[in-house]
Amino acid sequence: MATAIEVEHLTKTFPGRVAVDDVSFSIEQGKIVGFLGPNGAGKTTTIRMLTCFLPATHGRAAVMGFDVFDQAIEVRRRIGYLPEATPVYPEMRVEEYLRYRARLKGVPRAKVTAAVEQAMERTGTVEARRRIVGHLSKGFRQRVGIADALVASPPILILDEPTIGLDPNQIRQTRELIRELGEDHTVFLSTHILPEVEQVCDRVVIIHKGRLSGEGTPAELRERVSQGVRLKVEVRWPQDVGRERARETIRGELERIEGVRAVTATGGAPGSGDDSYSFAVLASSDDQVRDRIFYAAVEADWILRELTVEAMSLEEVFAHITNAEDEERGEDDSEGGDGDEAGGEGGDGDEGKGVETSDEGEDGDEGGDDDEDGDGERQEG
Amino acid sequence: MSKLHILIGREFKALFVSPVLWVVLVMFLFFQGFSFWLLLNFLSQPMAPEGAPMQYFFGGSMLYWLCFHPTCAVIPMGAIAAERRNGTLETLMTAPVTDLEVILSKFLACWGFFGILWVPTLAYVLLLSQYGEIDLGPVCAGYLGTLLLGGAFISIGILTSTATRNQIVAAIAALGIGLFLFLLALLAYLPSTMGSHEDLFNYVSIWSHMDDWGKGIVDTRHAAYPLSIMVLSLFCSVRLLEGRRWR
Repeated sequence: MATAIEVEHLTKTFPGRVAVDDVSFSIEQGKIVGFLGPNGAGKTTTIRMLTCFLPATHGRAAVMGFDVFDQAIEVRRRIGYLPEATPVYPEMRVEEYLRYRARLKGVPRAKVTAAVEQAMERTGTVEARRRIVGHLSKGFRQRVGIADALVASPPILILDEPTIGLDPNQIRQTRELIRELGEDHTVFLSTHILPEVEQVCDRVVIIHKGRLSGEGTPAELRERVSQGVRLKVEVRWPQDVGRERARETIRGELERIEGVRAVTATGGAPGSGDDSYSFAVLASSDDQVRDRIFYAAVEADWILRELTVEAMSLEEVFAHITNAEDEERGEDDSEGGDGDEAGGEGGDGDEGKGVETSDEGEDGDEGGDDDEDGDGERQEG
Repeated sequence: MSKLHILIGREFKALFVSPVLWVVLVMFLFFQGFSFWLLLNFLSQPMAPEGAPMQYFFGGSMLYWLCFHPTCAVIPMGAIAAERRNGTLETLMTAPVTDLEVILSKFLACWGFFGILWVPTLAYVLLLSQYGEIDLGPVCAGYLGTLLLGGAFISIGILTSTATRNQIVAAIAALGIGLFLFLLALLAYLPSTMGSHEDLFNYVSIWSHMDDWGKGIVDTRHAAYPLSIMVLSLFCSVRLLEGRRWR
């Protein structure tokens, strides 16, 4: 498969801070790739460099083999871009706007109507065709933005936070649309919402504090960080020593097993009875650990009721990766909103490294502040 | 340049749905009508100086400039500044269009709007022709001069609009530059500068230029002046729009 997007040592510094720091990755054609990171990680800045809106300080990026700096027009012809805040001319009508954008993007005059109709149909904006963009709800405006991105059927779609500010229904629809679009486009979408990535993406690129911290399929990433596995263990031990003591004894025994790193007692499954004890065991990914647990149980005369491997959610992977990096760099990561984050001023200061895990709760960084992070162009404040 | 007409089309429509510019349009017509009426009254007096009304109408009186400068500053004020503030600059600049196309389309749309402002004043010419002979030469020269000078000042407005994200700042800066060029003419009359740089001051002063246009003098020098301002401002605007990405 040919490369759709190639990024090599991409760096962007703004006065006083490094927004994107030596990021390299490449994206194959025909994939849906999630660009994941907390607010202010440098997602938008990276995307703006890919779409030729901002130049890189160092490094290079190429889209479909065209350099974003030297061949900007060629690159722009090949991408459909949905900026984060979905800026759309407020005074235009939906259809009028899409026609204008289609022609601007070089759709031949004779094909404009068909292209616009198709884009409106795919995004469900047909009913709003005569409405003025400025009067549309956020969700509709977002859809108009997506329609704009795909109206000229570019090979690559770059969507910056496509589901931000939408209600749960719209989010589901948008994700379905993205999955559909993935069939005939390369889609690069940024998000700070993990379920989105798990649901729609073939690959994930994780960025944190401007640095690349992981790349691969969701499964690969899970593999990479779970240099341990999480086991769920439930044993029954009918003993007359008191529940607390029994649990502690079992815990102690489990911890002594080679390859086990940590054991925490958890609540038992419903209906497991008084003499049942459940534990979450963090063990090395050594294949033999479960065997040893089994033998230990046999030896101690426990009845092993459950011994299963729990898959780490991408969410945990993410927390793991970002935390590990922060520790490595010895930075204090206590709260977000500090000056070195690209997300900039206001709005998302309270997020910290908070990757949102819910589908609905994405608020906080819509609106005008997003526009500020990249350009550094506030001459008069 | 293939996208230029598409961009101009949108810009032009956008200007005509902008409430600010409708206010400008109304005020403009009101003041032009008022100034025409004043001029006619003034020239109908027995003691009045000689000259055709339209000659005074074009640059011959302060009223002309009172109208001219603010309109030239206000029309282009939102050109780039508003796009920047609304974030639509990002959508615009990530479409396959060049910086030059963007600046030129903004400029041409604003200039066209400025031209349209003057169309109703043709009624005055018509009116005058009902009551007497009109020398069409100076009238045409007056319109031509107005258009060219208007273009020059609108290009300055485009430049200030590219430099900031605040429309008001853009308009005030453009007005300031415009008035400065206008007032340079006065330096020619200072005793200390008289003689030495008189030519220079006269050349950069739009006042003296417009005076000649109004008299019907079509001189390439008078055309070269606004044209060079246009080229310079638009060139700087394109550079500024490019340079925005370097910071």
